[in-house]
Amino acid sequence: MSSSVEAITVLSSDGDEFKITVSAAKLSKPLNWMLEDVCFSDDCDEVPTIEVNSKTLVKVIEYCEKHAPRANSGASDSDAEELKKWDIEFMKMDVKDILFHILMAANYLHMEGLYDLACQTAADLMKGMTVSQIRKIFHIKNDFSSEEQEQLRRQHPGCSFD
Amino acid sequence: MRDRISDLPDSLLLHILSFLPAKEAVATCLLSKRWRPLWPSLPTLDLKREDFQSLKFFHQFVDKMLKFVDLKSVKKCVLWLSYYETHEYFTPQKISRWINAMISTEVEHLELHLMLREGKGKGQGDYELPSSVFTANNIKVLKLSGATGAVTRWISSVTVGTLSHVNLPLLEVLHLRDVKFPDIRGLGMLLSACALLKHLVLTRLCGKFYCPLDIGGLNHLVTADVPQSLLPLKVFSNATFLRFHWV
Repeated sequence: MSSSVEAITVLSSDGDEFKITVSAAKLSKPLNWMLEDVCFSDDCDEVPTIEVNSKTLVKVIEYCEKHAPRANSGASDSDAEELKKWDIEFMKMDVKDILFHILMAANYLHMEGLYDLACQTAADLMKGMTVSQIRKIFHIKNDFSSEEQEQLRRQHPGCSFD
Repeated sequence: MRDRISDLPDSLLLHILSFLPAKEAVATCLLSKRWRPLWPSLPTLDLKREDFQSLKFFHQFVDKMLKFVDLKSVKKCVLWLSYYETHEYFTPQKISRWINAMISTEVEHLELHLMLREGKGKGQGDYELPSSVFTANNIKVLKLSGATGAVTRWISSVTVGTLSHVNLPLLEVLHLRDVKFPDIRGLGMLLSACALLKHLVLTRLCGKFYCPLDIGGLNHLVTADVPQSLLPLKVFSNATFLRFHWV
């Protein structure tokens, strides 16, 4: 790869083109490998596809661009605080729709920070909720018979399910 | 609306559950058949007395977790014991058995927050941590704390007894708060054995320390929040954050 390249172009699974700076792409292991393996210079036509849809990829790139300066150079405590606040705002999204895509994308792109952040967000939605409330939030279908449910309740005394 | 969360791979669901207290993580077994088999593979056990209605339920729950969880998958254990009601009392044997079960695993992160009530029997004042905590060679993060102001009557001190052997070769983070060292050599021995230690917090330690402690190693220390003049200055040569406070 030419050292002069500052941004690369990638394709989403929907076929849309996106630009991502090299320093931001380094937050993802697979993207980092791509940077090393694939030719990204101007005379190279190859545009790698990332198996993430456009809507999700926009969010992932936004996250990477925001976090790249700190990941690459380290930062002060005040920056870390600011970034934490930014993360909270960033994750305020339609749970039923994009959170799952972000979880999958962070998993697929091996992005530890985003993976933790998205999992924490999903866990926060469950925290303090009863089993039936969690089912409602995530549209989980109860496929137990009433006998099976009774048995599970007996197996876990002290666990509050309701 | 489609149930998307249940389509996620086990590893991802388990990572989500690792951000919940163990009690809530286990309760997800009742969501659906997809979720039922997950809890024994939890990577984090966050066990807190406060989360349970009664001490009896808490005991049953912890015993059960440590028996049925696949201890090989557990990377982080957090145990919060607090005297919740006036007559609550944890026997030292019970606590040590739980701690030993936790460190028999490949746990990398161990936190013990023990705000204990004194037992009524003779010699049941302080709680001495099992020495196995200091030979758990997979541990990278170790945080120990007793009750704040453990001098108060009825409150038990968490102590580190005489250590004959310390083996924490991977330890990077050590926090000790309100911990008592009846044998001052214990702290020096502990710190000298942590060759890779990067982050150190020592707050409100109890013991007669001769300052500075004679310790070697600690060449990798990056941040330290420690009592003034407890440690020789040479150990901070590579530190980027330092805070000294009065003991």
